Amino acid sequence: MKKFNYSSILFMLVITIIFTSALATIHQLTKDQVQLNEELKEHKSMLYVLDIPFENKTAIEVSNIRTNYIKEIKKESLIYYEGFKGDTLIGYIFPIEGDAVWGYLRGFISLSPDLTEIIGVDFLSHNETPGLGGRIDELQFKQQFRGIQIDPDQEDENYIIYKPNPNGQVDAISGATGTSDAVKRIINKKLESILMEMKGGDN
Amino acid sequence: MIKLKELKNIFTRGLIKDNPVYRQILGICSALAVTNLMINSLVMGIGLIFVSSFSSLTVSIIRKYTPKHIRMMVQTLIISAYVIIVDIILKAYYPNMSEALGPYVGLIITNCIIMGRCESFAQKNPPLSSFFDGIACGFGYTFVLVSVAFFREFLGFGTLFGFSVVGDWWVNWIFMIMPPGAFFMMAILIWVANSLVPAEEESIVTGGGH
Repeated sequence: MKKFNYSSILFMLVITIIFTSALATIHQLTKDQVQLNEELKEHKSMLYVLDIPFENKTAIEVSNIRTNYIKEIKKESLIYYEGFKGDTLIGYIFPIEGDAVWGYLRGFISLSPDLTEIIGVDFLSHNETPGLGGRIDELQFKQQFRGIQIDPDQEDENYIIYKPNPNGQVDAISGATGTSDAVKRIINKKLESILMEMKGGDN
Repeated sequence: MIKLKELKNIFTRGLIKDNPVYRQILGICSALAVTNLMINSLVMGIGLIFVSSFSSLTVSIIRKYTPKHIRMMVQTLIISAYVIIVDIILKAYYPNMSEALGPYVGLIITNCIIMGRCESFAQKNPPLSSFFDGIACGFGYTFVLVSVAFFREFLGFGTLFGFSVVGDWWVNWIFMIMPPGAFFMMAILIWVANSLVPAEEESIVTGGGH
């Protein structure tokens, strides 16, 4: 048996403290930047789902639009945002979330003020495989959701249907059926609850 | 100071003779996972060069004070610290890249190349040569990743670094961007590499990696 000695423990302790404090310092120094990035991403995402172009805008301009034209509303269990252009309401933004294939998926969906049309869909965070399920982030996929008509009186919750099924509006991602199905499930479920809650509020 | 000849030696070994992936079959997991896009492979490679060089440097500096029987623990701690630094820097200053690589940055920790170099080289050599050895092996790994990704992205998407290089007539080989494509491409490239640069002597490296 090897002789047990305390110097190893002491050595490990010292080196752990050194590295942990170094990491903590770096984390502190970059914390604000990381948070800014996340906020900016969220703001851009809101503009994207409302179909407001932001490619040529600086981070500050994007944030200004977010603060001036998008208003957060809390209504019972539902949190959503109202998007304005000038003084007119151009759409609602609802957060979407749920389990996808490899982890939790978060994003936004935006609906026209009369809740009959999807203006846009975007994803904020997910853990899908890069190059496969991760391709839900590509414009080619996301743009397909623009302008999809929703019938509020529909019986079942199949608002989004993948091609080539009858009445399909969206092409799923080849090689990523699991992720595509998860996205469809999350959106359809959210749409159903949105329509229920918003209708309930009007009456 | 480190001699030029020794430096050259370290680099030929890291890049060609003892190339971590082609020769030592180390770091295969991540080489299979991130090689469907060239840009992902490149950033992953740069991250690995950083981690492997600085871990080797640190391990080498403290090698004389490290109690022998806990050296693996110490190495793991050092490697994880550097990986977390890479992750934080990507998140803060290159958020887009951080998103594209997702969980793979964190997985650099489990890359056997780094641990292998720390254990087999940095533990016995002075800091500066260990540092360059880390860089050399990182380059060897990056070179392999980018070459595998070149074929996979080209055949699978018809693009290189995201730019389309072939016309509309191109039919994407979906197979290439799926996991099995990585195995085929990797095997072919290892075969080619070993035919071009035959092993000079019986390899002393034993055991495979993850």
